[in-house]
Amino acid sequence: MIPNFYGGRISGTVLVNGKNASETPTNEMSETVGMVFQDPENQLISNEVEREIAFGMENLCFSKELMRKRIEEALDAVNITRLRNRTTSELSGGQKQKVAIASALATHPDILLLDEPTSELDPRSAESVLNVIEKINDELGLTILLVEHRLERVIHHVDRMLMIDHGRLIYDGSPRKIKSAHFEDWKVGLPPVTRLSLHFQNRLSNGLPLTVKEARTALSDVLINPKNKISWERVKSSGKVCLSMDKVYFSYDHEKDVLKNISFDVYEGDMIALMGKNASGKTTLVKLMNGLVKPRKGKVLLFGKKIGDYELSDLIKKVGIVFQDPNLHLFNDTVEEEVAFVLRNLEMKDELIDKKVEKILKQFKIHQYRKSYPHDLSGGERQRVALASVLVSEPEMLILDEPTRGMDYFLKKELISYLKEKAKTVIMVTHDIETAAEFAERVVLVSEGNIISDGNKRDVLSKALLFSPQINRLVQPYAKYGIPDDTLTVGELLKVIG
Amino acid sequence: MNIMLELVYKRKRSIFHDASPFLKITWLVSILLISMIFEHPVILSVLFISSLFAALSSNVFKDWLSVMRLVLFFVPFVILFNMIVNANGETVLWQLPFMIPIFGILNITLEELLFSLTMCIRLAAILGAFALMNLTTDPDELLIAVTKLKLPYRSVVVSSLSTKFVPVLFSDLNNIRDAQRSRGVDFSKGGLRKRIKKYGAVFFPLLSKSLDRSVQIAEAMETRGFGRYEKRSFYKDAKLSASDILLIAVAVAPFLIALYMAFSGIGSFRFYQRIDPLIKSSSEAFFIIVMLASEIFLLPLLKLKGVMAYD
Repeated sequence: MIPNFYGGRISGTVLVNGKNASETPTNEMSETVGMVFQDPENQLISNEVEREIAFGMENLCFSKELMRKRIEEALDAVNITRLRNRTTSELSGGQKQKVAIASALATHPDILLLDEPTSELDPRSAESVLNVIEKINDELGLTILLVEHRLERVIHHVDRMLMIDHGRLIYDGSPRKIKSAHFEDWKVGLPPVTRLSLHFQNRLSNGLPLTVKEARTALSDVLINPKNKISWERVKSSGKVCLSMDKVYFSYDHEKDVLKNISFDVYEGDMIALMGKNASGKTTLVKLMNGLVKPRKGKVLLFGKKIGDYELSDLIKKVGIVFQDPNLHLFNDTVEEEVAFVLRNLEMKDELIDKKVEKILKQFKIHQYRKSYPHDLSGGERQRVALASVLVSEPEMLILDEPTRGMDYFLKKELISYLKEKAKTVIMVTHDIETAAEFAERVVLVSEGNIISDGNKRDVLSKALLFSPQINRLVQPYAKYGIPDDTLTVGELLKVIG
Repeated sequence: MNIMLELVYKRKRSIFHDASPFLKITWLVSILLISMIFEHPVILSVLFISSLFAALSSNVFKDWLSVMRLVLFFVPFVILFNMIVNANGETVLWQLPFMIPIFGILNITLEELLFSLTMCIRLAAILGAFALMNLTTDPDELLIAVTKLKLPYRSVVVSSLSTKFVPVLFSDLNNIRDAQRSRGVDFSKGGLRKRIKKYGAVFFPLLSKSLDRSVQIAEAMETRGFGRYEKRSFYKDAKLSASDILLIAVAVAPFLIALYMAFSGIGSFRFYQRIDPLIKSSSEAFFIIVMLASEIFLLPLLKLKGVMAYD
């Protein structure tokens, strides 16, 4: 769609409805191809929903009557009629994304392109955006091309899947016909139930199951005959308190409390997944833990001392925090400098800095880029630079704010194994239920500023409607055959059914 | 920092919010032109007072006031600047006890001081009018109005987008500051050089983030056909009603009065060498009062239009 925008060289031709896409200006292509981007923040142009939807049509000089009709249609197709007069900046991420879809639809393109449209959304909003997309495809017969690396979210919606690896097309076909041999190289996450099913391919008659329900039918004869009797051990928190919050309240505007009456202890060695919907107060909660914001009421003690009494240099030796967007961290000229930055702030000696930097760059497999400019690296590499640049100071407690966003399956796996090996106490803010199930021992659910559930992951994530991993939902009906009903991951289930 | 956030349009209702964008443009331009024609402190005060009253009756007074605080911040600079570059005036208030090469002996004279203060009133009048315009006008409506006036719409889109992204920019800024603080950048410590370096840790990520954003926005606009044709159509139109035309005439009136005054030599004001009296003649006083009255007269008319919502 945008060959004219970035330059570069193209050989071969791209034909869209008979038009050569590389030779047609992008704004002319807009009549045939609609596009929705990743970040809802960066694609809304007007202040009002109706006007936003009209924007594309205004550019193409549609008449007023036609616009009125199309806006009605588009609002209805995406099911946001009630938002029509709202200001766009007030909307939630999911709502913004739906407005973007409606705006793309209004000009009646033949093809709708979506570039990771749900990557900024929590699972609930993502699901509802994807349902809207499926409905459009269903009812309007629009061709939809969706770019996504988190297959587990979208795979059951699609008819055809194209897989690109290192610039080559390596798979083109129904997602149900994947052969296991290829998939390990693809570096994308299949849904856990599909990954599980790949181990039992000879028993599948209707192709790979893509949803929990399909997997239940497809794998029922495996699931009713578990080979091993296992009950999962629950790792207890150590008795040593790192951080304790006592009846903490927080508010940004002195009017509405974002956090209400939070009492919460972090113990040494804890692996905590902090979960909740967007804007539930998760990020604020972790900001309290390293003193970025101060509570309105209540106490935050870090290793027995009030967090406000720490010098900044001591504080960052205790708590390291990695924010979700690596671009917020990176500003030095080289990766090496970037990683050394925090150590220089701590006024360490140069030789010691060099040694530590060298070591961590190797650990994170970014040593070969040590002289590169951080912004030239790929998203995953940048994320690792950001992680390394915090971990290098070896904080007692590590906080990660949605570190797996934008990471593919293998990077996630690497990150988790690294954390389990190297980090002492970790709090990970995440939407990603599967990552939480793999990584954490303790799960804390936050909703509207309250902690609504806090305990061992097997208790919190089992049989919870919104927050259960797929495997857990899969095994529930088979508990009576001897599969533990608190099984959470593919690896665990494979141990049980052999 | 909060000043910038407050300068952003928020959807509300008031006589100025509801007024036609054409009217507001006329009002703003008329105040701008008058403030450029005259250096008369009373006339400039009249302009300032009229945007003050407009802000008072438009439900944005607090935001407007916080923008106007900027002017106070400028006062010492304007005075200092005048003291250095200007050597006029005969009533010396204070003399610098030593010579400065090139500039010579620096005097503060009463005339200089009053001139500086008058320039501050001019600044306040202009800024006040702009602030009120910004606070009460939806950028989308402004876009329509400007396009109707046959000005190039692309430049307006750019400026309306930039106001829309101010809050986003500030939330980016806060996030970056938090991130860098967590890496041990202590913004409250160190000398000037060190601090400047520390702010680099905020500035460069912010710059790269904003550049990323702007490219993405450009992409998004391009894919939606922006700039496809020379003309655009409009979903919501800005139509001029008869009452709007009447109101625009009222908003132009002060400017016409000003023109008349300028051509008949009324309202000129000299600061040097000796400052003029504030009011030199009764005709000057008369015209200034008429100007003030016609500026203020606009407000009840706007209110009246709001009451008679049908027209």
